[in-house]
Amino acid sequence: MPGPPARVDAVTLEARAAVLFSRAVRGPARVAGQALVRACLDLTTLEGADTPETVRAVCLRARAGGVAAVCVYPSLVPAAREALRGGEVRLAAVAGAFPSGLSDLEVKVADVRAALAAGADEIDVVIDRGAFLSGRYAAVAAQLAALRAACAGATFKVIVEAGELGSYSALRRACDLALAAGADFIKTSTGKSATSTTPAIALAMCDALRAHRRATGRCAGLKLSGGIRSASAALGYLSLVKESLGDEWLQPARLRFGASRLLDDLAASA
Amino acid sequence: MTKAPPEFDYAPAPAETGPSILRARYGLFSGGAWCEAAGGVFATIDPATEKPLSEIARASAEDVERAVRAARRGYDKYWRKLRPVERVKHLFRFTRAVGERAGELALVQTLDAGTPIRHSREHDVPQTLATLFAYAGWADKLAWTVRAGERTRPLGVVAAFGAGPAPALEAACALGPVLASGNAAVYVPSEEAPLAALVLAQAALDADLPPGVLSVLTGDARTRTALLEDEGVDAVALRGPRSQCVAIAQALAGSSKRGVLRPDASGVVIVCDDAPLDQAIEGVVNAVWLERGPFAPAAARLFVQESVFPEVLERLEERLATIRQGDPLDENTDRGPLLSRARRESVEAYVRAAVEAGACEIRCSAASTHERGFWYPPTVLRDAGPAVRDGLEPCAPALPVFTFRTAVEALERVAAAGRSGSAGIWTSSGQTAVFFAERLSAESVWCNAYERYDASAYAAGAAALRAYLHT
Repeated sequence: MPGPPARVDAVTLEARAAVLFSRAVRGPARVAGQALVRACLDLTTLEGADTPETVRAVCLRARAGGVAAVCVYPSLVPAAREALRGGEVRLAAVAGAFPSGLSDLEVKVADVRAALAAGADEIDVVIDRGAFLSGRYAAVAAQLAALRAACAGATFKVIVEAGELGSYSALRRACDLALAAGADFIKTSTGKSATSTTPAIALAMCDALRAHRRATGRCAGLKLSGGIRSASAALGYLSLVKESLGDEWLQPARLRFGASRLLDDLAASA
Repeated sequence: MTKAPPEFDYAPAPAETGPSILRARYGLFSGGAWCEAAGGVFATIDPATEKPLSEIARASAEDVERAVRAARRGYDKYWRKLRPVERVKHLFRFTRAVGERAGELALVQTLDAGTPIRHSREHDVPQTLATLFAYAGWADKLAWTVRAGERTRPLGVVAAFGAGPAPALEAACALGPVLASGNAAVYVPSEEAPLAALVLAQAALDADLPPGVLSVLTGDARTRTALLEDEGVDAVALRGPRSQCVAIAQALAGSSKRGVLRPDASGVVIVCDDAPLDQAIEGVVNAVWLERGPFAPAAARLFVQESVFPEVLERLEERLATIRQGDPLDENTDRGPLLSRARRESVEAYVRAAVEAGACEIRCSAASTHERGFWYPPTVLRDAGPAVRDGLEPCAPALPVFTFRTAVEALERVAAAGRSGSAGIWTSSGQTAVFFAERLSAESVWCNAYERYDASAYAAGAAALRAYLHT
């Protein structure tokens, strides 16, 4: 990356995020917004107790709900693949020592390859926070480059685990690393940390995506995950992305919501 | 993913106004009661649509005299004699009564001044209440605003004038210290947006503030002149345009009246190359186009370090296109119209002069599709040097931008461009921030922010109170 890392001012970021997140979305806008959120949903099940049967049930809901993708652990990819066959719903797998990201690179690459071989269309990997937080940014970049190479042809999403990075400036740096490594999506969180997605985190990541487009011309996507349970919250994030990145980001190829329970609330408030 | 994704745009989200939010006609609030004016009426209009909102009384010299006499009586008979702790109780009660009318106050200000409803509700009205509460708490602690041994005797009857852009907060900032220091106040709101002050007057009535302690006289320049000349007035206060402050100072020269005058001085924003740029852009947009504080006019000059200038300019232009300018009553509106035709004309004149002098005009086109109303699109002026050297005071929403190479050069250029009241410095370096803060002549300097005030800040509160005391 040329130049010094971009810096982020927390106070102004949070204030602006709060404004965008609380736009009044009413009437027809609400209906259209909810349909869009549904179309951008990665229906997720990442429980240690997931079984082929529970995953199959999730896949059926995904197909009925018309969501973008289902997101599962690698060992459950075959079951999900079977259940999704013939539909439009894509299959995403978390891979690469999810959710810690703390394994040897070979193990992570093998994990990714196995998930792809079993039929995953999209791969969500998490950055190595051990390396990132100890300042080994080059190591993080090298790992991501290797994982990107292993995902050739598949959608490659990089989870930055924003809540564990300590500051928005660090978050921005992690996003810049992931985008430079060729991530198709940057993703907020594994959903396993105490803080996963907040409006300010989402806005800082939108800024990183916009800067990446300025620098390279490439439009990467944003996946918001962890703790987004209500349709209202999802609409807040939708407004935030709309105003910071523009309408061209409001499509499943550039925006995803990773959530397990959001679909229920969308159905309930439809 | 071949299907087109559903479209998503905000539907209109107008705030509910209800049928009875505005009276058809407002009188003067004088001697603790509403009364008719001898000077006739004028219409206050909605700056977004130019439609008349209500009939407003025009206070004549006769009305002014009557109000000042009532204020003097209120001061002598009640307010001066009260123990300070009793004044505190009255002022808290008054403030709570304003709080009861918070929703009304926000709507009235939005209708009358064009402030976006969200800004009225979430910023101006809460700040108004915070300011009134903060000053109310001072009313029995005046000894702490002066040096040991100094007296804290109030002046008597204070005439305070409003300047316009943020009518509710402005009134609170004017009335808070006047009342808390034990004076009676005669407040004349700007004729451009008089309604918010009339809501405060109704709150004073609701709260049984002793008659005459607070009067609100609507009117025009003649009303203000009558007050300036009235023998019963002990002090005149204005925080507003320099020309008006000068005129008042001249009128008061040689008289025994005290002038508490704070002339506006335009602000600057300085963006250094190590600034958090995404937020700096937001900061500039806020400072220039979205906020309109009562304390200073919006920031009116931008200085950007040369190495980041092209990027800042380009991104500012992008951001301007996304400013949501429109119906002030819509909850998703970030920017409303200007306050009056006169203000729009002065911006137009400034931009014309700057362009004639060689400035390049970049304006946000999306925001100027209204047929009526005092709209002006957010505008950036490049290479506006000569226009500024000719001594034209820049005015938002037209923002001249300049470059600098080093911090020292920035200081020189800021100084050369005229007096500045406040400055916002965008940098990641504490050292740079301190460098500017120590050397700029501005009254307030913010780092990575602009125009942020805490109503409870000690220094400002104490100084404002001292201005209304014989010490």
